[in-house]
Amino acid sequence: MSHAATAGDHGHDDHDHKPPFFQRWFMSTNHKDIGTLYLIFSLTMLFVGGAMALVIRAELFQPGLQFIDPHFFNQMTTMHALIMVFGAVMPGFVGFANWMVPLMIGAPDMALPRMNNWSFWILPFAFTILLSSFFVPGGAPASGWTLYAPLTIQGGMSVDMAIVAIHMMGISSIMGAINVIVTVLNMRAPGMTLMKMPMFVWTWLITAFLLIAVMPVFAGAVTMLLTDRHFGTAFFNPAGGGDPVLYQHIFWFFGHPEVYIMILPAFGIISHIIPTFARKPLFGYSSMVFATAAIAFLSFIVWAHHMFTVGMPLQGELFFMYATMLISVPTGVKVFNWVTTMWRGSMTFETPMLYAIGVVFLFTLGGLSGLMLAITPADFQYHDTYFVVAHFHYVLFSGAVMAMMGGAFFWLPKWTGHMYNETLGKIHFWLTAIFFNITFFPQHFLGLAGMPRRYADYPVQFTEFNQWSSFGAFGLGISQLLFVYIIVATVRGGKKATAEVWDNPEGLEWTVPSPAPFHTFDEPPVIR
Amino acid sequence: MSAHSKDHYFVPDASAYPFLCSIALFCIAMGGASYLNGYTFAPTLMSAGFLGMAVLLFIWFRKVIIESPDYNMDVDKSFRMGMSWFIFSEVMFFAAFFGALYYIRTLAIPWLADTELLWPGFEATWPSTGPLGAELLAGVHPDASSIAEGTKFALVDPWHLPLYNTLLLLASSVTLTIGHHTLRASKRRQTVFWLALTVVLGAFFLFLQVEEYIEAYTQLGLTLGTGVYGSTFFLLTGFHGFHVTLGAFILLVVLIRYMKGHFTAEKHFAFEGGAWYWHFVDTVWVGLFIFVYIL
Amino acid sequence: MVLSQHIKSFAKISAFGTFLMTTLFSGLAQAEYRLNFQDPVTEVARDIFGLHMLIFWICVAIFVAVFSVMFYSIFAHRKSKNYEPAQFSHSTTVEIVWTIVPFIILVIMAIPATKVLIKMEDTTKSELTIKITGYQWKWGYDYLGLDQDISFYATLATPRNQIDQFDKENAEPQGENYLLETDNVLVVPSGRKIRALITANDVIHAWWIPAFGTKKDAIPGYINELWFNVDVGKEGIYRGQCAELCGKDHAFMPIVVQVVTGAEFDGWVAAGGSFDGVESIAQEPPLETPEVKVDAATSSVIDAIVPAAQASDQPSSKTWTKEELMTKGESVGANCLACHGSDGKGIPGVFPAIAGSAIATGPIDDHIKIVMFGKPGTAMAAFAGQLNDEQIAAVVTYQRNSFGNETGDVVLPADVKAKRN
Ligand code: HEA
Ligand code: HEA
Ligand code: HEC
Ligand code: CUA
Ligand SMILES: [Cu+2]
Repeated sequence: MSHAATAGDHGHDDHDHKPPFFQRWFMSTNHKDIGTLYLIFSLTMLFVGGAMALVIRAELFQPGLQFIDPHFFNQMTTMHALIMVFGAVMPGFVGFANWMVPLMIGAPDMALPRMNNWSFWILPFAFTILLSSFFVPGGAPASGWTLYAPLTIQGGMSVDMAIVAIHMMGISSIMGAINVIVTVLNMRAPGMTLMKMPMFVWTWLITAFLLIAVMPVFAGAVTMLLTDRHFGTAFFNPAGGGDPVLYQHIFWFFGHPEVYIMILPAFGIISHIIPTFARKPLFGYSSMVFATAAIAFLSFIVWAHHMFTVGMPLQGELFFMYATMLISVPTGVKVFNWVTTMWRGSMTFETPMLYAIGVVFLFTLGGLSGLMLAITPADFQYHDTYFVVAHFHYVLFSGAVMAMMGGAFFWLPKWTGHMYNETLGKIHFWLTAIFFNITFFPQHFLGLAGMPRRYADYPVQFTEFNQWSSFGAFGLGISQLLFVYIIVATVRGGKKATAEVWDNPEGLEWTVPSPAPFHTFDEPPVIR
Repeated sequence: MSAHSKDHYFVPDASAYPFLCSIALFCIAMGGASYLNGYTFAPTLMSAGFLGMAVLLFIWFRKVIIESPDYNMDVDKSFRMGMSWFIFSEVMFFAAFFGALYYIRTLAIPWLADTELLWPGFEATWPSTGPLGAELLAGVHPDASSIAEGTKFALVDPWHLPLYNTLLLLASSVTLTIGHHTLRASKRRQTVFWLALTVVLGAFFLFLQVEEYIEAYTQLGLTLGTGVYGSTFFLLTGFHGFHVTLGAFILLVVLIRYMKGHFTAEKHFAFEGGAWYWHFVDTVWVGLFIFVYIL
Repeated sequence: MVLSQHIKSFAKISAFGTFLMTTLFSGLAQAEYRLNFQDPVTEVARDIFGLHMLIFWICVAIFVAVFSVMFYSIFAHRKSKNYEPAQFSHSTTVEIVWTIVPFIILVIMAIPATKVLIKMEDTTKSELTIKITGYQWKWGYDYLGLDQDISFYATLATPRNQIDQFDKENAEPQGENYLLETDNVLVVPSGRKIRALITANDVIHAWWIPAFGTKKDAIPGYINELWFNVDVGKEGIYRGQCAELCGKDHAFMPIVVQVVTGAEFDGWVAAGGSFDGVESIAQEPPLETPEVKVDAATSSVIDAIVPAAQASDQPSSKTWTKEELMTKGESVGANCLACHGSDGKGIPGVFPAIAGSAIATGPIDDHIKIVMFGKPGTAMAAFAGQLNDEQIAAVVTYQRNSFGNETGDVVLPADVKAKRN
């Protein structure tokens, strides 16, 4: 079996047999194909969730109820978030992990390939259940993605469907995470010590740990919901000695690490793009690793910053305020390291680099508003307003989603063997960045002025900024059609990409041909 | 065309099991949700799902067993790591329920007792039914007068069945460990004996646990609906019991496989995985015994 | 050499950036209330505002500093300028510096934050206590410890046709206080420390008045506390909204507080919660006499059995005709619209229809019971504590004889009274 990397000149090795269609896409044990499936799934979900966001934004264009009734509005908010978080962002990053982790560490595949396939295939079925809840009596869950009790105790069958869907997603995520951890710990090419691993691999290793630690806790929370709903338990029922706030504690013990699950892999991607286009090694590699670990550690002890207004004892509020603020320190280290990586580099600004810079800039903005939220007395004013909505779209959309877009442009040539259209890529970046800001920047003002979130209708003085926001959202949505076009066009054809693709990039993935052959690293490469 | 030889990491060929298993899982989940909402087709769907899953997992594992001679030590290591991380995830699942128990007991109940305005006369004691737990048990009914006498539950006496259960499980961990040693020493007959004994102890544990549940429901008035103590008690012990069932089943399969000669003194991942799982279940029980029964 | 040049131009750029941002943001921050917090009228709200601006400026400063460097670098260290990449990749000194400096900044932020927080949480030495209960979807207020019981509910007062813009023909333009007006308002004195005990009846709500700097979740079964003390001289009307998702009409349960002087307040209390006879009151709408509710003490909690409410204060001996009951029932029925719809059709799968409902056309007893005691675990609340016998009798009669239901039944207050306890 020849070393794949030696066949550098054209895409397909002779022995690169691909199985027939059904076997290839439904029965795959190949990390690249499974990665592709994940990525396609994620993009689809981005559109489904995005379409729901557009329904929200259309309704909020003017005060008064224009198109949908408040109950349906709440369903939209809930499903938008569940789909974006569990359908778009998390599977998206798993897709990246599947494609890139084995390539980056020189492994022939993921450690447990069949389980890998199972992790993926659970998802479409889970989302079938979740989405079909629109069609049961009473419609989809309408209690916000946080599914707070006791509102969810009141809900109809859709809540049960959401719960079982979440169980399935949990199983999928846990298996996926186990696979990543085992792959990283067990299948690195000889010579690749932990501290030589690429940053993306590091961030995913830590993300996977977070996943295994918190997905079961979420499963526990929704299980309690289920038994409270149907079997007469009283976890969240004060009459029986329970406490609705207990649900929130368990949920956010999952929920806060969850938000880092959605951002750490993005940090990883950025840490590859910036050095490549600055033509300079990543600054402070080991401090990056420690910072990531520190963020992960701290993420377990800050959860109650989502609950400052529930009436916790003062000491609790102080503790969670201080702990939350501390997260800024390691995150700051990362931001400073990226900026310093650029410092005195020799930069060019291809699409991935534009995305990376956009992410650093906009994520930091969102991070700083997060820091403001962490200040408890001020959070009493910000909490459950559009200020929070603005905060988390800055970290989620311009952090996680835009990092994925940047990553997609960065590795698309490696995946497809073709260069994407650079001009269109740049246009897509600028459209996305500009419309994103039109959509979400005004929401800061809305929140400060007092517009609560999860509102189907609002007082008239909030009209103007809502109109900006809705306008931006539609622009943002339409711009994403261009993204799909670019990807489809690149898959179909375009300039042939070299193995290296970019100027002298670092990492094993660039030593295999583009597109990466079906099987890579059958013989492990040796790391110097 | 992956290299199926021992100097390569084993990469399996395309496989339909994951996809089919996902369908089975879908049937279970969808069936479950429909069942809770009274759809008549639900039991059928759910049973089909469970059946499908059982059959598929059987075939899938069988395939793994057949392939296993091709696995090198790296694959073995992957399995081990995978199993330990899986157990870690289970630990976190139980942590959620232990956390809930802790929170309710040390925070929520005293707060409720302080809330004189809403719950006059309610006092913080543990175990607690909550302010209206007894009524909940009776089924909330406008004519509260119908609340049955004796609905105030009694506790399971920890020094009776639970103590026996503790001893049973601890003993089973010991027998299992002995079994492991004899396996490493290739003492076939002894291994079979100790392993079988472990399974029997596990089964006996389950038997007593069922006994205890029956007693709780029929004599102590302790049910799922008896306020929050009942909730935590049954969910914690219930999930634990489910895990014991699973663990005992795994060990049984391991036993059968052992008798069929699947393991060697060096390579017996399934045995070890099952054993880790068993020890984990055992540890959880010790936690339960202390925090749910005794304290 | 090169470095010092860089530093100089960096300094210039960042100075310019700071200037730009400062002018931009100070304009935004001060100008209008729409861009920033509402004008604070309590000391705590002012403290929060100050804290908010402090952390905001620190964040702006950090942002500007970091990105001046980045954009300078983007500008200067680009390949098209033939810039050769340096190869340095770590420096322990700077790593330590940029770990410690942010930490110090955080400490600077944490100190005032801690002070404000401690102040906010100190509910001792209050002069008036009000119990606030969130319902789907209205607020209930009980003044505790006064000589006279004052309690009432506050429901959205904005007309439906301003809200529903679906049907363009009947729709009306929104008024000035659209969604921020209620039928009854909470009346409080300025210059006194007021403690609010916050709870809920069904699901979690949150009581929020931005200008007071107060927001607390209303949790069923538990009581949260907050306090505020409105500055003397800041009397007037303050508006807020429910800030925790509580179901369908979450956006439609506003809070309106009228702050009056201490003397006016005392007069109001003396008049039993009415401004009749209170002189000097600046009559700002909506100053109506609250409809005092029957039973203040009753607060059912999800799944709780409603304690037997006291008998209504009106004599039940009055003989009611069906017409009287129907008229009254229609107005009481406003309590039910939010869920069961003005056409009695409800929302399938969420809120059952009254029209043709098995309960509303079946045995009278079941109908009365579900209205009085609700259905635990669903949104159908127990109304025994919220409505008196007449009201319940009326609404039940109404439901049994409208929306196409033609039972012809007449339910009398005595029938309801018999079900209490
Ligand atoms: C990717 C997701 C993501 C990320 C990374 C973050 C990051 C952070 N978040 Fe955010 N957050 C969410 C997603 C995320 N959040 C979501 C989804 C919600 C709402 C959930 C819901 O209710 O539905 C939320 C809500 C939320 C709240 C609750 C608000 C409320 O409901 O009242 C709070 C409060 O503390 C908070 C804080 C923070 C902080 C302190 C960070 C920090 O990690 C940010 C750290 C980064 C920086 C600070 C910037 C870079 C640092 C420097 C340049 C160094 C110098 C800085 C200093 C010295 C200050 N977030
Ligand atoms: C990763 C997560 C993620 C992402 C990517 C997004 C993306 C977007 N979100 Fe979302 N959002 C959340 C996570 C996310 N959101 C969460 C967690 C909540 C909280 C929910 C809760 O309160 O419970 C929330 C809530 C939330 C709200 C508040 C709702 C409320 O409080 O009631 C709003 C309102 O503007 C909003 C808007 C948007 C918009 C406009 C986008 C856009 O960025 C979307 C852009 C993408 C598209 C639009 C899709 C692409 C295009 C098409 C569909 C093609 C068709 C288009 C045309 C023909 C025009 N989101
Ligand atoms: C917050 C929402 C809400 C409000 C307000 C409300 N209801 Fe209901 N109501 C419900 C729900 C939900 C049910 C269904 C309960 C169930 O699952 O059986 C219901 C059921 C009923 C039923 C039984 C209908 C049937 O066929 O099952 C009657 C009668 C009824 N309500 C009367 C009233 C009256 C009278 C009022 C006002 C005084 C009222 N409701 C206010 C939510 C509400
Ligand atoms: Cu009440 Cu939202
Ligand atoms: Cu958080």
